[in-house]
Amino acid sequence: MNLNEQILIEHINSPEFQKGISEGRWGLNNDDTRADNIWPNRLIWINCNIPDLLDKYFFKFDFTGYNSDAANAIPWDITNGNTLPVENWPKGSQILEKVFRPSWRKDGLYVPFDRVAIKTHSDWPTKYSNKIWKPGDNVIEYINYLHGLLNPVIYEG
Amino acid sequence: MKSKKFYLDGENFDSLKEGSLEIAKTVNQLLEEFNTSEAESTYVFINDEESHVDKNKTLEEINHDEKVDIFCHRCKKIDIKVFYQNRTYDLIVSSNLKGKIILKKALKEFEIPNSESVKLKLVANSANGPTILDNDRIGKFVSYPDCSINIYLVSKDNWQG
Repeated sequence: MNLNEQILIEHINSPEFQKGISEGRWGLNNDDTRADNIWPNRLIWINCNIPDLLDKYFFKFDFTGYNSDAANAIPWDITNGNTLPVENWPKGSQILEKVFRPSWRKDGLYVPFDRVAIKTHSDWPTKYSNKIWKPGDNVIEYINYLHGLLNPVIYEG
Repeated sequence: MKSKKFYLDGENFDSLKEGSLEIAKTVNQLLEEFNTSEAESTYVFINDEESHVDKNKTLEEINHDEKVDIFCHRCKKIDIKVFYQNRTYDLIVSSNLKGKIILKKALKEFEIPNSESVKLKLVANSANGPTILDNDRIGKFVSYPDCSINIYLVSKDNWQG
């Protein structure tokens, strides 16, 4: 096991990550016979409370270079082992469609914690200096962010 | 001897702790065992309950679940002032209250429809302060003896480039 994988396992085993699992906020696919779930990939699902969307979304996280580099996440079709068809990506609000943005790319999410998005936006380290992924960061921040997006707080209805 | 698993968090904790302790032990013993500073003057809350528990009770007495969420803080209540545009909303809550409950109260107070509320989040201390996540206990952002905080209802990040 290389150092990058060791760091990831340490973060996955942390109380904060494990508490999210025990509360059903997110979880891991533990089928390590799947090609899409072998290092540097890891399938992680995040629940979703938005009506008319899926109850949970799987993401294929690629942890190459973790945690010097950010992870890269792709909405994933767990049945077919491929990128989730675009029509099934989360949508319905401007804020969701900014992040889940297949018209931009289908191999990353439009956030400054995603390796693909960071590499394609040279101005982001300056523009989002307080938010952008920094060496040593923890993927829990990315997962918490996605969980917040997929579980907006509302009071009506 | 039967044990109970717990998550332990609180004021000035660097990170969430996870552990397990015999159910016959008291909350006070748990605090001592896990080196919680200021244990004597700390209020202890469990799960999402807004009232604190008697620290002399055993882990078995405080609840019957296999696992319990424990939050410690020297402030029993916290005075919150929520700022949104030119309006403010004052409320006093348990230091155990989660961000999502405060957000819901603020959205209701400011009568913000769902179509707008999904674009908003709470941040602490200033309009550019740290995000208060849905599951964050408000006490995490407050240090005794100042049991008060200003929080801001602001737009979620809108990444552009």
